[in-house]
Amino acid sequence: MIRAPHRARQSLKVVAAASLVALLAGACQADSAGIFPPSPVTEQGVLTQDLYRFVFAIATAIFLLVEGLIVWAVLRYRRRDDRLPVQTHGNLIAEAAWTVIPALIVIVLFVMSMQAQGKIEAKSAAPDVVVDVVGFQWQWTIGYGCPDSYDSATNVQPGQDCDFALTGAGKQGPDLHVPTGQTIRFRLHSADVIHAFYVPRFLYKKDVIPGRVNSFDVVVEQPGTYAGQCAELCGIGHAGMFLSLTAEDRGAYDAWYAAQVEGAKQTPAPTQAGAFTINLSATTAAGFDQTAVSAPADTPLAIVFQNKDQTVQHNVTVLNAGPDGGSAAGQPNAQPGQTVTYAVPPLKAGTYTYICSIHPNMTGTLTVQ
Amino acid sequence: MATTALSPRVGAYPRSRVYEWLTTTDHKKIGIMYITSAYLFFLVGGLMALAIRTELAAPGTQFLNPDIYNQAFTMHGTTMIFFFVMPMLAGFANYIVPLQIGAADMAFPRINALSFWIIPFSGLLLFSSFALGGAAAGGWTSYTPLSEAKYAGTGQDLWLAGLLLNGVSSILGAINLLATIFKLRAPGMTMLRLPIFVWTVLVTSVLLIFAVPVLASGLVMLFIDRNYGGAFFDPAAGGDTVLWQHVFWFFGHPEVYILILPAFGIISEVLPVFSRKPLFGYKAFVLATVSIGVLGFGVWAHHMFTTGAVFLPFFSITTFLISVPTGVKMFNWIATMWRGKLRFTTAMLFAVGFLASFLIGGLDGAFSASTPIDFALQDTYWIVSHLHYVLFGGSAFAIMAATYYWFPKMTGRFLDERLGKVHFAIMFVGTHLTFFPMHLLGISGMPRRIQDYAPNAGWQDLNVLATFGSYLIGFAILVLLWNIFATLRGPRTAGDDPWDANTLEWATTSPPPAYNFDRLPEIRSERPLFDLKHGGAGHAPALPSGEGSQP
Amino acid sequence: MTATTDVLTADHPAELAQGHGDRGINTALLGMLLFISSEIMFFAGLFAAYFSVRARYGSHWPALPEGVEFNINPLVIVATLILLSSSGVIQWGLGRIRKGDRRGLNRAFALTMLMGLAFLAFQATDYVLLANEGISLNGSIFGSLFFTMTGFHGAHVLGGVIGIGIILSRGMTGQFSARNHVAVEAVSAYWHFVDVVWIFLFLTLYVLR
Repeated sequence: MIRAPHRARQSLKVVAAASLVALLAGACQADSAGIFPPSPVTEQGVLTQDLYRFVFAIATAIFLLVEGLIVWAVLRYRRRDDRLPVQTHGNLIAEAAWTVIPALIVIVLFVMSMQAQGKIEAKSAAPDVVVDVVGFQWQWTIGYGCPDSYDSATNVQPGQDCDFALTGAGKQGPDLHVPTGQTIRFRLHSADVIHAFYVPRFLYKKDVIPGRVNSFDVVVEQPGTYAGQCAELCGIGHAGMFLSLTAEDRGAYDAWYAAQVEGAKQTPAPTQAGAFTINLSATTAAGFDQTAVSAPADTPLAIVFQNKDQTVQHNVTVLNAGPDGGSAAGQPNAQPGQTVTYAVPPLKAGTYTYICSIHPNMTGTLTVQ
Repeated sequence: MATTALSPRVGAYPRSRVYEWLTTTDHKKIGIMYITSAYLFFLVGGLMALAIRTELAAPGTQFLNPDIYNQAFTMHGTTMIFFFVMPMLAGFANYIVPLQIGAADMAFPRINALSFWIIPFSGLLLFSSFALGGAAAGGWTSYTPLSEAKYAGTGQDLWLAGLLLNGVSSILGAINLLATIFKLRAPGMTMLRLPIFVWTVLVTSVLLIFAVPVLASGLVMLFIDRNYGGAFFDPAAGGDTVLWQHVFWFFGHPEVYILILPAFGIISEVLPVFSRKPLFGYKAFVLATVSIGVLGFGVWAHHMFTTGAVFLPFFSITTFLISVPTGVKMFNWIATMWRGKLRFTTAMLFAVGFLASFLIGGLDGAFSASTPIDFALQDTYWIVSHLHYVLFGGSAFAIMAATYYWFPKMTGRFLDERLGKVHFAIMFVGTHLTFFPMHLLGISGMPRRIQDYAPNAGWQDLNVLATFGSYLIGFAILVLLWNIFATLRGPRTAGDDPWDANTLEWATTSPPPAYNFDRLPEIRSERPLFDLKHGGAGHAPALPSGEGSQP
Repeated sequence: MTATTDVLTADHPAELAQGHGDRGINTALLGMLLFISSEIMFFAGLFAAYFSVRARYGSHWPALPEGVEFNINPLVIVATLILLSSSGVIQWGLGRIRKGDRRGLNRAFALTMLMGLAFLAFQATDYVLLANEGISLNGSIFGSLFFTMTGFHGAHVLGGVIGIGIILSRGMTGQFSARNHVAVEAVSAYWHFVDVVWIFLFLTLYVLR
């Protein structure tokens, strides 16, 4: 027979102390991470936060009660002698109590959840702003002023048919703006696999599913810029699928909107005459057709990029080649099947890297000599 | 052993022990092979977990690029669920169930051997993907369209084939266990005298028979999509991509109970023995197990609240309700310890550790059953925390308890109790250090299945804590391995009934002979051995006075 | 082992192995019924997929590419009648062996086997016709569902035919008797299951559409 009550008690105490320290350390570790969700910025998020606090209170009470009972039993009922304890087989009243009481608790929680859900999922008959979000591997295109057909059209590519569209590149997601205090409808479309549109400060997310259009309404109350990110595994670029959302008053929003519409009208700078032409294409997000090209120094370049990939948009961005040392070319993105010509200013001799900024794994070397 | 020594051929042509194990149909040997192979897969899955944790300890790419990272967590989840917990529990069921019901073997011993041998081969098939262009990388849920031919390579096909084979093994094993429980019970072993472990295995087997074939149909449809141009889950060809999620989770949620119910059974064996009391509320416990099994088929779409494609109230209420029978069990366990005489063996420590940890996983369930809260928490690290509290703090702790509890029966040797307690203490601390911070990460918005996070996201400290905790768990497992290794070299000191236990497996030798029993005690309750030793305290005395009441 | 006075003893392990085995349903037959339950769930998964897709299309069903039409092969009625009556034949054969009539068993099983093969022949012609019409496993969701569901059913019919063949060959050597014919029971149960699945397939794919 194995008996080690003393040692067991000691190790239990150590374990209890260590885990308490661990929990406290965890709870106080980082400013941005706590036991409650970050403060919500939408009308709907506030409801979620309130519900969370309520469930948290009940869960904590149950947690303390049950862990307390366990610890009490462990400390109080250690074996002290060899006599057989009273052989209790059950107690109908106690068992009924711990069936009925939890059942009542969960029914209360269910009713409260459904009330909150009703308000959170409510749809306005006439939202003030409609924003179309298209998820693709591995970025977002945000369309403003898109046609009503987008309500049900599943394979959309916001472009000429919308007022303007923003597409993120690399890990720099699109910066979408919304007015505060107004009802915003997000319509979610996917161009390929499932993504999820998630802004943590909304305390809300919704899946972006090919073949379906999901939508939800929110009213952003707090002005500010909030990070968002894809929350459904969508392939190797999943971790870099960011977006940022700026909420501002209607005036500032309208001004931003007008500037974006103006920007969309501008055509890309025409290719300079006498430019040296480089032809590139891509059939998948695995890479360009050529990974090494060369060009003469101090000559304007024109990169003619043919996107043969039928599923996703790409671009050609030449790193460290811009006038200010930044990247050159890159915009606009070539839609599936489209050909885009990028103008690159004259470059000094050297080697440069070009990538698709949406898919930074697509790289190649440009040798200028 | 004694029985084989009678065979005249043994002396003349000694068979190699390897041959004997490879060809055995003895449920005990098969059980041990199940358990051993499950532990091997546990080590593989655990190493992948450590790699994942190491990658996440800092922003940026440490040593796993996104492609390998996605393969690592996909294979970690798949391995742990289908090749560690399921075969491990099947192994304990294989070894223990015939003993506990007083049977000589399983109903179909050769099919039993087949069910086991499928496991290593399906595992081989699955893992061969690493050598054939990369493993599946779409998560253990393999959501379409990411798992379709357009986005995933050969690894996904091997994943489908491996799981299909694994499913065949599960179904055959479940049929075998059910037939054994229904048909081979010893005289007197009525259904309401079955040890609770047997009851949980029974309900689990029913779940397997109803859930796994549905997964198989999904696997087949995805295979046809990928290889023969099918259109099931391809919206472009008229299919429905959410259909995969329905099919997968119709299996996947009962699967969660498949992974946890036998663990409940193990805890319900260990707690009464080391509290020296019967399980409190046996019948309520049976009822709770059955109702979890039934309700388990009505909750699947709570994994899909954010798809916008399911009827939220129905799946919310069923999910809330399933916590009730689970709560009943928790209180029954505590009541079992109440006013008992608790002996803190390692098995008991793991059982109590199970209660303390599983409680957190269970309470988490109330958050994700609430649809608005789920909208915030779904697909974040909070979910990762929740599922690991259930499957690691729950199932894995129960597996550890079972290992320490039944090791003397299987080998005749005690695992070292001092090392065992070190193992428990490190693993308990490690578990909470690893998984509790994930709650906080998830709440603050860290999505699951990401290989990298921004340095300014404020997630690094908690990730470092979790990574440190995972190393502790890894170290605890090394202690366990050392313990097993050292013990197996030691002498056999455990008697037939070393824990002063209640059920029939302790009424035979350790390890039991071929066909298990020479004789059986009379069975008049769910604790036949206790009745034998104590004259059925609380019942009418059964033994003539003074006859052999103490071992 | 200690206490020996108040125990049931069994001298031979085989008696212990018996357990409750001599009462109620035969163990092997129970195993077969459980196996059939899991098979039913496999088909339930396929049917659920069918109805889930079907519900999305409403009246636009069968969903097929432009210009392709699903014409029902009239032979399906004959094939269905053959398969349905084969259940009666196999049941009759089972009844014969329960009474100890080996020749009756063999005749019934031979006939059932022929009927199963006739059904498979129908299915082959049906597939050829559909292929000529342009319906196949790939290309349309209706084709995928139709061929997967009927294909797996056909494979099960083939499995049943093989099982019946095994019973038949054992029956020819006189291995079954009124007391010993579990395998016959098991194969008959399996054949009924295959039959019932077909009834649902027939109603779903050909009648209700």
